[in-house]
Amino acid sequence: MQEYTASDENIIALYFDRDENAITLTDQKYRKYLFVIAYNIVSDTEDSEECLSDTYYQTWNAIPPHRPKNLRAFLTRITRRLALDILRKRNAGKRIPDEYLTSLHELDETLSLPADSDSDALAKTLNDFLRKLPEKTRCIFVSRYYCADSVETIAHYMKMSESAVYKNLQHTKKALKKALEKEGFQL
Amino acid sequence: MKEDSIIDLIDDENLENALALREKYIENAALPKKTVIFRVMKRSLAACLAILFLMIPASALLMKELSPNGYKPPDNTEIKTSFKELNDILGAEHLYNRLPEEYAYSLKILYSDGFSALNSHTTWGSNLAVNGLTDISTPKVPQSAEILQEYPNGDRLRLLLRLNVDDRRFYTGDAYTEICGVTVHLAFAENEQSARFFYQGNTYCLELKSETTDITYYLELLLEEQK
Repeated sequence: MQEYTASDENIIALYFDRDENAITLTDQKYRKYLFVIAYNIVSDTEDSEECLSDTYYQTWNAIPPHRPKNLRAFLTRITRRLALDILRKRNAGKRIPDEYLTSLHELDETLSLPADSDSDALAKTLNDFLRKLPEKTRCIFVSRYYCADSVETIAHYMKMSESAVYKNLQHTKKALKKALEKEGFQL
Repeated sequence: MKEDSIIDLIDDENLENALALREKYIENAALPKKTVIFRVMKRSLAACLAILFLMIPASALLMKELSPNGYKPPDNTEIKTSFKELNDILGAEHLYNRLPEEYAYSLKILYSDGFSALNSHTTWGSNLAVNGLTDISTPKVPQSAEILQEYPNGDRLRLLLRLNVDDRRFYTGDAYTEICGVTVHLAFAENEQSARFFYQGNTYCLELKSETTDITYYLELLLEEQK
């Protein structure tokens, strides 16, 4: 049975029409993708499902008035934020460290910034840095530290060795550290 | 845990570009490799060399007995209950190494009476793509199944499966199901399940049994030639 895949424009138009099919079509098109994003962070199927339900609910409330330029990125941000909320609530419990915490730890090892850092300036430096990266390197960096994909998973779909992915990440982190230090951030 | 990470400051443009590329890579990873012709040529060359230089008549006989999947199935179809036994059948190589990339495998779920509930196909190595689901309305038979995530890990194929039964969702647990590995961990979300792998005929089977509802599912991994 082949499922119909609607375009993002059509789905967004349905949200604007307050047509609940918008949620159905969003689910059909993005469920598996968003589930993986959530699961990478919370490492639990029920929590991942809850993230997805809340993602659809928040999307329904946000569109309109918001009109996302890219629906996938918009949904990803919501799902990731909700998954992190669950992780924070659960933080007091002694759960097994998940892929997200591992990736965060990796990033913090190199880029530990003071809490009072100027977030606007930090965002500008980060995004300027990312824009200058080769596409593939940027993709590996975001996949690892935003989507919390494991090095093994990235190596599989990028068709690289795990050590090559790891080296690429190390190199990018060091380069980002240099860029931040150049802009006066204390690391 | 730190409340925020620097990566949360990524802007829409960078995020969108990276996610689009990530999806492209994932989709490409699901496609059969373009180097099939070269691999076939290499195999042909290897076969010619074997015939020319080794001249072992038994090789030709053995080739005739090879299954379409590239390996010789065992003579007996006795159910094997552990991976150790499965690996013993296959010899030194594991399932992952035995699966030719130009083959897809299908995930087939059977009800305990052998009734075929659904059949979903996916390409070996694909991360997320699953299609070809067949809906069945028979109660307690999974209406659909999805492979939520899969990727090979060394000599193992790791799957996260979801079965939809009567509007409830069963998962193969928080841990990944390792189709070919030493350890199998299955913890279903709703019911405690027992699970075992076995090899039957030309098929690797995963049997999932609910101890509370007395329902047994069989998931068969079948190799099929890519069209």
